[in-house]
Amino acid sequence: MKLDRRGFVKFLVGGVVGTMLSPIPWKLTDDIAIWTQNWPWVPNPPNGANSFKNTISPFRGDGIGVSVRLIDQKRAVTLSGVPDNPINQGGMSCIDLSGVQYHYNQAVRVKSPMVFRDGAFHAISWEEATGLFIGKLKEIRDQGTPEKVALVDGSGPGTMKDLLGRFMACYGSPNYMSMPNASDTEAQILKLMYGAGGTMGYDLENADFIISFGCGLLEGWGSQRTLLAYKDWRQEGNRGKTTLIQVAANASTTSSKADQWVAIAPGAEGAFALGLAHVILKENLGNLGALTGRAFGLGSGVDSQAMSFSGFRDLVLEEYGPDKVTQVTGVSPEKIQDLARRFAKAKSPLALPGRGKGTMPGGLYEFMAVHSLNALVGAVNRSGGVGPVMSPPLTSWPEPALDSVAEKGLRNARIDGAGSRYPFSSSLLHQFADVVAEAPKSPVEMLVVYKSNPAHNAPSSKEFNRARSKVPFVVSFSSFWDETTKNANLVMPNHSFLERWEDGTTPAGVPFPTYVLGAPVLPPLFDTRPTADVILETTKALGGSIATSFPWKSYEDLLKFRVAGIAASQQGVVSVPGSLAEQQPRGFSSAGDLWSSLTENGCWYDPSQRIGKTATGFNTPSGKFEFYCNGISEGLRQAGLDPKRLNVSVQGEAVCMAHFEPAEVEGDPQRYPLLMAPEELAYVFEGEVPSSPYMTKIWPDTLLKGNTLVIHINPEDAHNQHLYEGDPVMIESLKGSAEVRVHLFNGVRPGTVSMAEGFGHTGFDGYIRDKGANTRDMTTVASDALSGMPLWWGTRVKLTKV
Amino acid sequence: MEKRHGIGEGVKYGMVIDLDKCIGCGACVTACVAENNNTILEDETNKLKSITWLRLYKFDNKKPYPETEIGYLPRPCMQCDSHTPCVSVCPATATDYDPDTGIVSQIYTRCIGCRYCVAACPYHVRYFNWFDAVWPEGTEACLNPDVSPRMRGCVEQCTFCHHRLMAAKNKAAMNGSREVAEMDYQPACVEACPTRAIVFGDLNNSKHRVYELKQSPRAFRLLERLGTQPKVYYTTTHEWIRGMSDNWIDKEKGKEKEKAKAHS
Amino acid sequence: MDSALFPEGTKRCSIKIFGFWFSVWSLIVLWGLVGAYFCLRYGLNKTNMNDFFAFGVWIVVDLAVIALGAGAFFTGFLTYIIGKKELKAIINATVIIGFICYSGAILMLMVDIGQPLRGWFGFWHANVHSMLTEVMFCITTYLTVLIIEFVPLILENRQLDKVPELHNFSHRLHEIMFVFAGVGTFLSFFHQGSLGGMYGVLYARPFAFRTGFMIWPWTFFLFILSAIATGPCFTMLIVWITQKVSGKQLVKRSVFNLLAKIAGTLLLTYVILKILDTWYWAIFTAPSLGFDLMDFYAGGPYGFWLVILEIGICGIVPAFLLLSPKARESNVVLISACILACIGVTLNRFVFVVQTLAIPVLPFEDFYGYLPSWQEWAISSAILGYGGIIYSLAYRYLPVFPQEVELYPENLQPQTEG
Repeated sequence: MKLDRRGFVKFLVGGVVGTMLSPIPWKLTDDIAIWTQNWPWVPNPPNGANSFKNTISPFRGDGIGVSVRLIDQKRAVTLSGVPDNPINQGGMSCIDLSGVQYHYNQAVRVKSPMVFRDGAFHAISWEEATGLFIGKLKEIRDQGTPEKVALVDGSGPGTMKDLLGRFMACYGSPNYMSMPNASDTEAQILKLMYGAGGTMGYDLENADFIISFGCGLLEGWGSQRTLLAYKDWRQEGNRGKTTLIQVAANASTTSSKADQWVAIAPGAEGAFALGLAHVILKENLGNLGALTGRAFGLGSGVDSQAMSFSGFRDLVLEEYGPDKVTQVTGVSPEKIQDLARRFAKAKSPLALPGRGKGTMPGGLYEFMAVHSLNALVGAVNRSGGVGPVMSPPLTSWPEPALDSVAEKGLRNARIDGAGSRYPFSSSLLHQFADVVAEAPKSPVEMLVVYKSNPAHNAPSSKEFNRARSKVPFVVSFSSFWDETTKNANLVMPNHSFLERWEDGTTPAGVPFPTYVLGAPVLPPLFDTRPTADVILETTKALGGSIATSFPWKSYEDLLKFRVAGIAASQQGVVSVPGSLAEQQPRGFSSAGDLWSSLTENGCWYDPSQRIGKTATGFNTPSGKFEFYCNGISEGLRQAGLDPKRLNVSVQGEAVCMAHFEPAEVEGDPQRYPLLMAPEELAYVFEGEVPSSPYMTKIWPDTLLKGNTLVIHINPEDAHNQHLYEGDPVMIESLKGSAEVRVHLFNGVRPGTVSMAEGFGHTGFDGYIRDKGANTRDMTTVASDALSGMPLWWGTRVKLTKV
Repeated sequence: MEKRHGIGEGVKYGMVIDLDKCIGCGACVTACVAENNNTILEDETNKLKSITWLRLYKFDNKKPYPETEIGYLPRPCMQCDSHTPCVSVCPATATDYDPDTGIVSQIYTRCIGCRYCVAACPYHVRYFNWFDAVWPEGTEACLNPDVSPRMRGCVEQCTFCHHRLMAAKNKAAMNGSREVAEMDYQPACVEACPTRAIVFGDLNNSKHRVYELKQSPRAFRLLERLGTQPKVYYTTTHEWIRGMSDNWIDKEKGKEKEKAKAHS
Repeated sequence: MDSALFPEGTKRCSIKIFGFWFSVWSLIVLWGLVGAYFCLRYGLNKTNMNDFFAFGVWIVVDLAVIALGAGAFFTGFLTYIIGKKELKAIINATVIIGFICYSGAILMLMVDIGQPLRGWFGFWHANVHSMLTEVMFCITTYLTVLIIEFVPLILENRQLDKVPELHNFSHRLHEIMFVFAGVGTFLSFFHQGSLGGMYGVLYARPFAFRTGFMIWPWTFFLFILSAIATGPCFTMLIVWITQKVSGKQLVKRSVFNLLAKIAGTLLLTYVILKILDTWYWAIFTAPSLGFDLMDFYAGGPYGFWLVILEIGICGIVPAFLLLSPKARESNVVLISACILACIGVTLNRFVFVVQTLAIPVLPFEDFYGYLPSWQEWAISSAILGYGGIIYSLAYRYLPVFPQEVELYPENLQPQTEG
């Protein structure tokens, strides 16, 4: 049939009308609309029964309790704080909240053991991996050179740290290193001034006048508990009861939230503390009466080496008058006087040493100055003050059995010089890196890295990587494809924190002993193994005295052994749901009871051992708090070091007392006119893992813009260099350079540049990789006088417009 | 000023955020993203296209060194109570204001993506899904089943974790009660905050903490003079933050200061 | 070749030249289709719109073409309701332009909304409080009216007209066209006003917000006035271009004069009211929301010069030019004035759409600029291409200008078959 024109039009019109009257278009639009609601590429998270399991979050090393929400007991979805954990009381940090995201992130997890062969990584079986590891260990040991194995450990205080240290000792290598930390300096202070072990506690909650010498209290200093104290200070009704003074070069969160910010020349914190001490001593303010019979070296005396000295009072009165301190610190004499008086007159004054989050060790003398200041105002071992916190009463480790190889190996001096050249330090990663990098042939044959990423965040990552590239065999236990792991020869991935046992002892700053324990929450997602069990397996394979030193079947077994000690001591209490709210935590009847409540709720603590609650003596040579540290003169003598030839700016008795060591920053001030201060931020994390994808949402665009890091400079400096907001510049130091953008910020001290830490990753996935620049690639690391600890708070840089 | 605290009638959920306690740590943001399945772009620095239901603003007082001060302000949806800007403009009734709770919600499957609400909201709390939903490889496994992931092309915003209210209501119903207990319904950001800077509850219930807190002379709301009646209050002792939050014109600054003084 | 389709008594260019002309427009449309594919397939992240600039160039073009397309209803109103019979000479052209503008705007909106497949939810789940709902209803209904107005013209095609039923149908439609003109005017008054209301009610956007009387009826009428003032200008411009391109006069000069007079009067009224509105807003409304007038022009590229350009150079100047009988005698002046007026209204819509959103209200936000991506430009220009195609086809095959035959009687040759 031929359709004529008329027919066609009829057909057309009829068709349209007919279709519109039929249900077809309506049904179709409806279906289409429904389809847009169910796009197959939009994930649809399956629902199921909710349950919660408590564990601890390992990232910050402060053992906060987290509650994992599980769907059908097999899928972890969100994390929240455990309200009755005394360290965080339910509060969380952004990295801890990201735990599940790290657990599931396929792109960053190492899914099976890997070996680097012929220019590429190959997946291997666990048998092969442990075989390789053990074989290599045996080989090195058989050559009689166990000291050629070095280990870098990034774990916080806890059983794992002890286990790895013990393993190295039994194997016969002194070269166990931890990632540098302010606790290292605190440990030296505890030993030298307090004559104590354990950890340094600061009773922030009960202090009423706090001077923080650059601590990033609100950026992550200490543990999450610091923030609980801050919360109390700012509680409606408590306002004005506690005063927080922040002494720092740049405007930080802490300085802005403090009651007063004392802007100080960078690196002059020690001088400032001594300036305050001067006013207190001169005006006889302080709480000097409290020190009678309890302090050594405030006045003149004779030390344990029979050397007479005139003491701290004279030193401070002579050397640290306000005018001189003003010159160094840039703070007016009036301000110094005023602050000293207010501080000394407060009921519970407390001074805090340490910069940023406390991931950087401090100058030993600087810390001594702050602790001396605490002693002058009677803050030592007092409620609302400072003092040593005993370790939790875990079963102590049995004496390790050492065979002749181990004994011989341990007699070697540590590569990093800790204990020999630097008698007061126990681990100096940057010195190790320097030595290995400079040596014609690496003194280390095998480097083992656990829970840390030194290739990115060693004090000078450049130096570490130079050293690492010389080491023939690098083993990483990391769960993630971090920079260190990407450059390892053998990777034996650890379980994620949701899959493994984890514990921790008192975190930095907490004023009473704590012990936290986290049990596995989920079965392993990939072909991974807990490192602790790999180590225990290795000890068995190595046999002999090593095997006998590690009688435990598994890590769980070892933890039970350790926890039994707490049960036996019958000290302390365990947190139970609602315990904090009701202020009635619970004791425990048996080791089994303790174990089960620990695995369920995660935390033991002992409020009766809080600072100031127990009478604590000083186990120093003098039996007193030592302004003049006998330990220093003894240590120097034992190490055979001549005090006159040390890298210390003073001579004579001042070597043993707090004094100001001027900052030694490498580089020509003419060529590198600005000082780069690495900035640690609460919302940027740097540790075992970097910031999570979740966290990238927090970042303001004055921190990172696209893939470019934004550094902050004072408008004055910008003006001098003709730089405008957002300008791309090259920042360059002696060690390295990077392209960044500038943000003009009044809060940066003129002459300095503030650059955020935690960027410039080359490992992990696209959410963090190649974003920004790594400050550690640029830092010139200074070694602290006497302790040799790495200091990198200032690096000379120059900016050139690109 | 009389009507300042007059927020609707009946149950009206709201927040009081103490900016003195807020330390800008970002825990609230992280908790929110995790709880509410916000999509994550590889480049989140593009604040113009990324989705952050709870956005953390960082700013400073612009004063020269060393008088410079930093401030942080967490900005959830303000849940405007009066003539809610986004609700009135939505052509498809995809945005709704629940008179029983005061919570503004978004029906993702009804949203046509016209973005009129995005334009209408002065707080920038409304986010359009410019991209298909993406998460880091494998992490779809930790998506929260209580909150459906959104499809490209629709608008979303903070709902005060409305799904938690549903759960709390169920719990209350199981216990034979019709009233949701204060602590049974708390959004994820409130729960995560390590300094407890965010307090949440029924603004009209004198037994809830927010009732008292919102009446503090230091309490204010963002862009108050626009008349949106936000149900999120802020408190601070820092005068400059207070002034900044309502666009004080230079000549007003003196006046407002006096007023604030007289008030406290 | 296709001369059998030409309107009776007219001459058109060769199919080759037309083919070339046609393909230029088609290429533009094709480019737009490529852009649209990107946006529909991969999402609106392909545009440079964002959560600040929720509306971008598309909405500016939408609002501008809807304003410029106002010539259709307004001329219809003048012709059929007021009885200005002279305007019959251009009524067809205005209908086509109106149809292009409105249908183009809707096509572009289908890409602009994030969920085009749910576009009809606006009707299904209508929120009667939303200005946008009103706009959606009115625009779509008005487009239907435009189609009804356009259909008889299509049916007047020489070949279609031969079909008696169609001829009859078209004739009947013509007879009741005043009804549609009335309905069209009514609908257009609504949505033109509502488009203004869409911004005027954004009380959280101090730049656009107007209070009380200044919103209703003031802002509504400002939008209506600006549309009916510039719509005729646009019509004149297009007709003039058609004349230039085709190389012949299609409409008598008196028609231009009449339109210019009307447009000029309206434009002047509009500008006076607009200045009053701006003054009131600057002195009272904005400060009450925390803004000094100059705060709005302090940051970014959108400075106070925009106000001078929009209201002064593209408002007052063309108004006076159009009103002056001496000035509008000159074609150059008349067309320049039309161009200025069209720029002015486009600028006005741009300011409402983009500048409103650019000005940070939240004090923690910075000023951001906005530059459309190529996809946005492509789709925007596709409207131009689409218009070019429809208009060219209409001109070639439909008796758009009734005066053409009158002006060129020599073309009216006896019909030859074949």
